[in-house]
Amino acid sequence: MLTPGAQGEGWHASQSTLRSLFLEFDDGVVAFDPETGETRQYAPLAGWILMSAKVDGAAGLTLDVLAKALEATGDELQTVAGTLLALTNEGALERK
Amino acid sequence: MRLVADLSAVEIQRALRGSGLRVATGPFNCVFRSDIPLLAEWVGRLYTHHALVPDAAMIDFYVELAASKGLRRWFRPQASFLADDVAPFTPLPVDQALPMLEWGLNWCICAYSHHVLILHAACVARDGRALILPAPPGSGKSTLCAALVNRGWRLLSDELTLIDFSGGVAYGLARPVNLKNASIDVIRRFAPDAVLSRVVHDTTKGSVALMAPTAASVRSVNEPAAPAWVVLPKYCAGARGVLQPMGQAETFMQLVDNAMNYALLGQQGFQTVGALVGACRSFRFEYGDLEAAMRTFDALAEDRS
Repeated sequence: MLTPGAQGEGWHASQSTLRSLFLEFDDGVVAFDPETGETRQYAPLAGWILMSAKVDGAAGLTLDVLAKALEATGDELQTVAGTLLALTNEGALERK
Repeated sequence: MRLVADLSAVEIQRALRGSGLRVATGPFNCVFRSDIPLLAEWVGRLYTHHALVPDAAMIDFYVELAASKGLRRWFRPQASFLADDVAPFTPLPVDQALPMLEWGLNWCICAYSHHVLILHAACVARDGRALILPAPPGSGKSTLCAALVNRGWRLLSDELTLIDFSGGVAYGLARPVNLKNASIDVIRRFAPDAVLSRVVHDTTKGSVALMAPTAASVRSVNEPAAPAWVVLPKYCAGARGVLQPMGQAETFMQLVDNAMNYALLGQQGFQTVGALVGACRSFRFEYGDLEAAMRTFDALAEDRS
């Protein structure tokens, strides 16, 4: 689990995810961070993973890795996100 | 209910120079004041169908177009826009006073009206359903709006669309439509009976003329419409004018980009845009021919799916 002492871009992204509001649509997910006022659009799979991470209370490490995955683009993002999802389902990544 | 049309030119002039001409523009009651002679004629013509606000009613915006004093009265005369006696802009040449009144009123709404989501979008309605046309300047939004209004659609606004926080109601303003540059002659040819002001040249937006809202639009200004369609228009010579469906997440981000007070509203803005997207079908629309565009939108209005 990441602590504030290990703050980096990933940690900030994971904290933003935890406090964000999400709306899910057919062509993607939009997220609103009430602290920064930022609104972002995610591809359906990426958005779904982020929403799941928030709802399931996934551990900071998981969110950090997810946030890094979201920095990737295109096919790479799909692959990384899909792999993470599989690992999470198998219990290989830590959950709260 | 008395209308601006019930006043003579002299009475309008006297009101503008005195305690003000009290005009209702949908949810906002305004008082116009001005000592600029040319303004009286055009305010009278462009707002002819609007209701006069009774003396006892509350006023939302007190606005004034004041002619410059001193040497400026004679040398390159200017006009200043004042809202509640404060001048938010630098003065402009006096012949730009009429468009300045409209720009100034838009500024008042954007600065003070945060009980609604404000979109930089034209909005027209038919049978109680609103068509929202968000787009950056130069996209042909006002031209399309003016054409639709002259073909039976009701004008809510050509510039600012006001959405209540449920996302289910669009409010009308029915104020004059700003036409710019080539669109002025396009609308003159398309709707020869439309009332257009004289053309004001060399503004920051180029040449500008204002088109009076139709009587039917102004009569119905207090009837809200339910948002049904979001269409992002873009004029493109030769385009076939086909509506291309647009995803909801993409529509959401487009509306955010075109919202005037989204950041200020915070979570309320996010929820309102979400509700609005959920209530509407969304499209991109490149058009090159106004007549074809009218047929497209008529078909859209007929489609109840």
